Amino acid sequence: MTDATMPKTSGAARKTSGNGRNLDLFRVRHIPDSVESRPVPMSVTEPTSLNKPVSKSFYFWLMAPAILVLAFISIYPFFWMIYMSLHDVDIGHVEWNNFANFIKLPSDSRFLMGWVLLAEYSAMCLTLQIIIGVFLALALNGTRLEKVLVTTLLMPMMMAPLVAGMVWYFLYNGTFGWYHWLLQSLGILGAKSILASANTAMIGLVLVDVWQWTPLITLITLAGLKRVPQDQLEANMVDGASPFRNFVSVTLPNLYPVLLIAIMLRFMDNFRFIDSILVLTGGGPGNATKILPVYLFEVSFKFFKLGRGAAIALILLIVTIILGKILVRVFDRQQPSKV
Amino acid sequence: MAKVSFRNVWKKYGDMPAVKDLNIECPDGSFLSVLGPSGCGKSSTMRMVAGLEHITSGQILFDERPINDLAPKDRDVAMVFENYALYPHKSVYENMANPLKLRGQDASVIKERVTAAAKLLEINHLLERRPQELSGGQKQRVAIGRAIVREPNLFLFDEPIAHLDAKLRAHMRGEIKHLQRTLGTTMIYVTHDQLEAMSMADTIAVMHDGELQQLGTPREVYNHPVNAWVAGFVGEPAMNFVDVGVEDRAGRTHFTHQNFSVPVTEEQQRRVSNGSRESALRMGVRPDALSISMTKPSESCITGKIFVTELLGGDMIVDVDLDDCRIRVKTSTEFAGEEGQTCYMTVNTNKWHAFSKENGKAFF
Repeated sequence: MTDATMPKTSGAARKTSGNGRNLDLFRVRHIPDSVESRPVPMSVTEPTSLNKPVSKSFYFWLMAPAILVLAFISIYPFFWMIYMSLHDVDIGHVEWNNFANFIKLPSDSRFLMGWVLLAEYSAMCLTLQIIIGVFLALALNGTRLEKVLVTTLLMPMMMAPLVAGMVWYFLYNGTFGWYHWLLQSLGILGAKSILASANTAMIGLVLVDVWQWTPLITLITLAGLKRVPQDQLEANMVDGASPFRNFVSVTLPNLYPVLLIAIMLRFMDNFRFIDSILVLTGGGPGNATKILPVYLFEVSFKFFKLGRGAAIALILLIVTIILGKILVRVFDRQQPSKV
Repeated sequence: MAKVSFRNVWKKYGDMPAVKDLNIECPDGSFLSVLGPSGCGKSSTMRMVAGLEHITSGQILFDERPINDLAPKDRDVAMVFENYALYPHKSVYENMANPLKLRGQDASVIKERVTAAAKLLEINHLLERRPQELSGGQKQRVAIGRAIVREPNLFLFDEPIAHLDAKLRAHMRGEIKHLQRTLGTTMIYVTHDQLEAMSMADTIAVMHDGELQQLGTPREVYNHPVNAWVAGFVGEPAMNFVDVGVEDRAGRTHFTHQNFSVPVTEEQQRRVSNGSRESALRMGVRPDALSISMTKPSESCITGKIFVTELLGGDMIVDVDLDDCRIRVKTSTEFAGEEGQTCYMTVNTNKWHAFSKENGKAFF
């Protein structure tokens, strides 16, 4: 990484020794004397580097502070988490417990339910975001207002998830929430507020995530659409494809790579970002929206079962990595190289 | 197969006209080459035929049937693109099968047609490969294969061999011409390379700045260019242009210059005097209509100084300096002139041209 082969500065003097001596060999026709024969550089001296060579260890010491900081904020906690997951951890008390944290997990119904809810939540979010995001991108692509509209669309994404959660909390609120009022007036909603009902709370959360993150999918898809080769679309049209067929057989395959990146980003975010959920429902009502990361938060920081929390976190991390790997593999296989 | 007609076709991008009032009749089964430099409107013309570009005004007709409002898929044309436009995620077989599949043909028919086309183009061993595993020439064959699996009204070839190397290009010129003759399908072939147009087409449409300059057989375009622009564009090495004066000497018109004074033929005299009262015009002579020698053959020869000689294997090109310009002469390799020597050139007056200095129109 720290290779010293930087582009050498080329300020060194070129030697202009030797005149047209060798050139004569190649001269087949007479050149009038009026044509000036320019001196040709016969050899170019190696430019000397401005930097004195330094040893590799020097670079190590340059990086040392960064490595140190990284170790403290990332590497140390990671190993500490593994350590905790194998112990009973309490304030001022750590004790080895023969993998009890892990062994107990399969019989923990809320842990299992957390997975189901997480899968449900993630699947709903991803499906809606991809469908709406791609449609928006298709609608926006090439229009005159594209730039303005994309900027407008991006606003929810700029918002801190916590703030977004608060905004929607007010919109959903059973006493003064505007959406609550609207849906109830239309007769869609019963007496209970959206987030208070076990049936609708999850949908409410999904909508918040969709609202906030669909623009990202739109943005990524728009970038992807720009690189769909125009000539392939045209060739397919001349071959006899309808616009829909053209989309399915040319645009979509060319969008695969970017869509996979979008899916990967979003599914990992779904596994990590629980800010808005904590603000909106905190996992309730009952356990209706207690997706695994929320449950993990609860176990660790409400019940302070840090050992068990660490075990759950470790499993969540491993699953995320495995799913990510699978997606990357699919992505590699689908990637069409350029003609 | 179809006859293609352009009737007063215009294409405008905003206010910029790309194609101006184009009128061409392309008979059924013929090979029309649209020739012109980049930006002359030739690609726009082809894209309007394919339906990829809206026709601003005028009509394009297949067999007297206007196709202006038909979608590309309903025009039944097959097009080969400059960049091949193969689908990278499909195999060669699937690429070639695509037009048939989109038209709902049976799998057995598709297989038969694709195999036959692949055999014709000698790519039957490549059918399982992906486009990125092919060389330029192979990709180009696949693109042609995709066009010929059907029996379309019309082939549209948009500079299909521009990206091949010179040797392969020369080879493919012959192959494409043969293919068109074999299949007998009407073909419109867009190119900027006058050699391709000359060697392949039945009819050449020379375009410049969106306007059709000349429509004619390769022979007509080469031997009787209608204006100085066509004369300069067609032919390699390019035609020499020399500004000359027009003088009457003993009842015969002469083209005069510091370096020479050459009488024109009777027929030519009639045309020039009918055509204009200009006292100066532009003489055009192709390098092969001049013969060069080191001894003075007659009084009406052109005197010049050799600037450089270029040996091209079978021929030799000699660049000769006149007092105010430089002309090129094609001669045999036996020519022994050296740079700086004085030489003499005789014009084959049956093969020279005269153009108006004002509008470039040809007198003869």
